[in-house]
Amino acid sequence: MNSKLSKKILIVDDEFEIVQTIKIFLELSGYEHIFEACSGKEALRIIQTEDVDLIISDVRMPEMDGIDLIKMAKELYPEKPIFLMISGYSELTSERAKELGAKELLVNPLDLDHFIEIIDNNLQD
Amino acid sequence: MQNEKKRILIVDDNPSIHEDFRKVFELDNSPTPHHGDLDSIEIQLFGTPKSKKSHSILNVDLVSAHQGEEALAIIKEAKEQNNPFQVAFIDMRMPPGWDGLKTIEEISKVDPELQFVVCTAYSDHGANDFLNLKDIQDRLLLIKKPFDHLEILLVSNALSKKWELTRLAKAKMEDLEDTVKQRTAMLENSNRLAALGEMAAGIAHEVNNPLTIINANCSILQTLLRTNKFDEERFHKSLRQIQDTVFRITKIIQGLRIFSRDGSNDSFENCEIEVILNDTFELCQKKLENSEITIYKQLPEAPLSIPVNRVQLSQVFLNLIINAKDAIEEFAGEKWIKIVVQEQEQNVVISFIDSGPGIPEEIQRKIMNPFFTTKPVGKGTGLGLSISHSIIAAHQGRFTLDAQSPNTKFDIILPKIRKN
Repeated sequence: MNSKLSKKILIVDDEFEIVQTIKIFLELSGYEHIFEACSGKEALRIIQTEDVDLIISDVRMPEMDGIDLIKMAKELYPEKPIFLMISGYSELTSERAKELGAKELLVNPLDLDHFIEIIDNNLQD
Repeated sequence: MQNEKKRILIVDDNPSIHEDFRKVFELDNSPTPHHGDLDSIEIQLFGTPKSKKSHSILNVDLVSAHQGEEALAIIKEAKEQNNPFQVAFIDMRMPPGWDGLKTIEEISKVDPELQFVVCTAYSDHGANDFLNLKDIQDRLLLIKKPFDHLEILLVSNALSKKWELTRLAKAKMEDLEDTVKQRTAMLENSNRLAALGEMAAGIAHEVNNPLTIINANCSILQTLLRTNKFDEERFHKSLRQIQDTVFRITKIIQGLRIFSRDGSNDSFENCEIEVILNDTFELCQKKLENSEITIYKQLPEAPLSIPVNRVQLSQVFLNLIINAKDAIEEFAGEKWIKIVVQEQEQNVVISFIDSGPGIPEEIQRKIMNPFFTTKPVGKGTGLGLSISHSIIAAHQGRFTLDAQSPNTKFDIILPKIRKN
């Protein structure tokens, strides 16, 4: 629990309600440092100022989408784990997501048990 | 044709003319020549003939009428019994009744396919009288009496054949028209599905993301209950969010349900334009938001209900919205789509205007053509505008590009009342 408390997670989605709901869900699951971004650009700014431990980003976003974001974030911080979120299987395959450097490809609607399990696994010290 | 006999009508007040025609077609009424002993020998050798030999070698059914009015009654009856005549030979002078021209005029109203031959020794009519019978110029001949038997025979043969070929051509044309109708319906269907396909990723996003919101909120509520962290405000917020999100999904499904149906056979019903617009926007709202396109609606204060095929009209709306989005989404400047609905006398005008610079003059004339598209390969079917055009035509309306507008502007003009 104590290790969870110190972890910083960034949620990126242009849909405010998604960001808010996931944030509260993660807080109730024991994570207290949750950062929010509603665009790829905003996410990049946060990544550069906060040493986040995990980035969870939607793929479909205006201007800079999740794919552009992961490419730029990987250039800056190659080791940082990034989860990509999609809403339809046809948008992106797991293979393509792995090629891009994503640790996980999550499909909406999220399986929340699996979601928290992989977050916990990736953020274990 | 019910039977394969050629049916020929002779209309003449002179009985001897009818006899002449019977001779032409070898339908002589006189008894068949009797060969006495020869016939007896034939019967002894080959048995009784199965059928009596026809008097006609031409398989002609010759019917007589002595007055125009009588001829008309015969033609009417034949049509009703689906056993029509192919050719009518008509005398010009037939006192005391109608003359030949009047007879032809009356008969052709009842039978628009019958071939006419005027048989006359002298006509009381000039060329103009014949030429004035405009609808039958392609099936009217004249033979001078006294006529030559071979001439009658050949003319009758040729006209019967022409009658038959005309019928075949007409049937073929009806088949083709049916095929065109079916193919058009298939194209409309594929366009609707293609438009829906273009929206599919957006629709998945629209439904799956809200499901995550519902799912996460349920989990939040469970955690709150389990851990006794009863935060009333948070509790209500989650419940409200679940309700709102369910409502949002319901609207998407409603839009999809309307749109994914084949509405080509639906009847026209009075519908509010605003409701159809809103249903259509439900399908593409997320996609437009993602492309940062703002929607402006300018609607009349009182709701406008007009007779429309709801499914087909939403298809037109969706085609126009997709086209506008595709055209402007890459623009750096302002991105907007404006819909203006207004009454104009007997019509309702629905205009779709977007922030794009308009359609170049050189392609303006081509945009309504089927399969014309400026979109990349695989993105557009090139059917959207041509199908929209035909759908609006079926609504007795007009679908036009306003070339004078500084922005791209399409106008849909629909009548408030449908004509029968």
